[in-house]
Amino acid sequence: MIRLTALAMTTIFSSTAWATHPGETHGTAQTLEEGQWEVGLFAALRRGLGNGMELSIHPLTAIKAPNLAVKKTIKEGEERTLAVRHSLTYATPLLKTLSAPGTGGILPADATIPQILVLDNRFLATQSIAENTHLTLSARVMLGLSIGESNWPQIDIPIALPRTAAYQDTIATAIGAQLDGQLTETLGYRLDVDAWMMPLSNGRWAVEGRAHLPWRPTEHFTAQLSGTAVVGEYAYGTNWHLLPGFDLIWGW
Amino acid sequence: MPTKIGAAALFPLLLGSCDATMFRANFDEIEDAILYEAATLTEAPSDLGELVVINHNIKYGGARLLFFWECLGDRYNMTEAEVTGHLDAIVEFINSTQPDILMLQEVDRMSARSGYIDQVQYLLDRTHLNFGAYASQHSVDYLPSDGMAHVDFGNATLSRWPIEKAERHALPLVASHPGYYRYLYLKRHILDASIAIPGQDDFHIVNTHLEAFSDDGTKKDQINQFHDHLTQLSTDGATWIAGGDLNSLPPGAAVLKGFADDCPPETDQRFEGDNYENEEDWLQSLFTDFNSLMPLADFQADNEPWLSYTGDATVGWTRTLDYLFTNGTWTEGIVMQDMEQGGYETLHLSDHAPLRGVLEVAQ
Repeated sequence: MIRLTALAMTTIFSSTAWATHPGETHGTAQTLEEGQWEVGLFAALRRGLGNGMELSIHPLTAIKAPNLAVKKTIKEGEERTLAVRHSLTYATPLLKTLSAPGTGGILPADATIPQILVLDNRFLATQSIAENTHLTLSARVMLGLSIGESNWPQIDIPIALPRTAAYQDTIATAIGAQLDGQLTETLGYRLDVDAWMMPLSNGRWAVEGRAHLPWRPTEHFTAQLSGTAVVGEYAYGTNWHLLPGFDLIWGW
Repeated sequence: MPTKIGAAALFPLLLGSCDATMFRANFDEIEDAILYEAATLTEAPSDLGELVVINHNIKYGGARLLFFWECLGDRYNMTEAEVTGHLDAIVEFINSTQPDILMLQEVDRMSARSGYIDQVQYLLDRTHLNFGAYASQHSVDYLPSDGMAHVDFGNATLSRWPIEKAERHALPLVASHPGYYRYLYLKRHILDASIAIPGQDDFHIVNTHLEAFSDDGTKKDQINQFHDHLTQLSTDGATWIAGGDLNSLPPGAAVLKGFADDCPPETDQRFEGDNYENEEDWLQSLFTDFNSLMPLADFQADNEPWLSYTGDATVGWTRTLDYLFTNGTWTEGIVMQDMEQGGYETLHLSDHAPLRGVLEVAQ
């Protein structure tokens, strides 16, 4: 009886709250367990606080764009987990840096950057659909508050445009779906698609499709290759791009 | 050493493989130009004895604003109102002068710096010109430099009559530029448009804008290719008008350096004055083998009436950079410098003056 119970518990555990290799909970309703840490070359620094709560911060941009995110599980069942994630970013210093001569040329040197605060709110629902296979549906609203004189061009870069649209144009919304699974014992996959609407921007929509191949040789390290296809509207017209990516993520 | 060679080979390969899906900054050796049509067509004459052609570098609708790449310039992106104001002044010029063919350099097409306006379509929709062909000399989906972002600018040929075919022929890139810079930098070309001019079997307008800065002979190579292209057209039996902004002085220019519009070092140390020494005869073969709108003897007798560029409007036109040639016969030719010479004040339109030529066309 004890064996049967243990087997049942193991099955439930593996199908809902799967083992958290580094990066495995990204984009899902799952949070890191209490005391767990994660950080990537590009991925955020994350810390599990327990009680279904997780804090994260992007160390690469934290000095120039102070930011903090909280993810909180609001319902955790055997098959389904629901969570909300809220983040606050103060974007002004980063944008001023990007407009300084010699720092990337992203923004012109005569740009006038106002005080910008951005609140990013997400609702996440993760459903187990097979062994080691999970589907996450998400809805996202970014709200920007801009105070002071503003004169800087929209950032017409794929991926960046939807995520900075609210900086100037108050609102950006997205819905998405993400499928996580295993190909082999150490090689996983993640497929996700996000549809963005930026109703007040000069470039009102974007669809992003990503394929990730995370390789998890140990419990503490993940190396990940990815490819992203973006189709969207820009100020200059509709365009598409294919973008490669990679990340190295450590957990402890 | 092998590592350096490997890296040097890998970099263009990497950029090349990503170009089609990320930056889109490059072109084929020969590719079709982009064809345009005005929103409303204006009836074009079907019986003509002469053809009026104007060539003008319009500085992407920037008029006399001073941009960051110019002496004392501090402007980056223009507002849409600024651009349309400048373009409307060019529209007024076109409608006043009524060219049959208009050859333009530095035309922006949906560029961030010029308010995302398609300047070819803008001009076609507001003038008597009906058809256009455009070829880009600098197109990057996103240029991470000086906030330029999305950029697409190049040469355009506008015509009263349909453009039957138009091709972009690539010119050599500046070899001395580092690979990454060359990848994202300007790609000079020849825009060759075949135009259905009444009574003409095979009539070409060849429009170009050559390299301004190269110490490695690239500009000379581009001039030679331009010459070869025109020679081939003549050999094929075509009639042609060719020209544009050649960024070179004619043989016999009195001033080769120390121009009145040079940037004084005490006011802006970013720039050195232009120096055209050692390239005095680079255009000689064009003058020798073809018919120039500007008779070389006239220029050498007096440079002043043929000056077509100045970076500083307060000192007036300072040098000759713009040209028109043909294998036909010019009956008139002038640089439209001002009201006295050309009947139109053009100094405010751009940093280049328009050239106006009248070609004899047999019916």
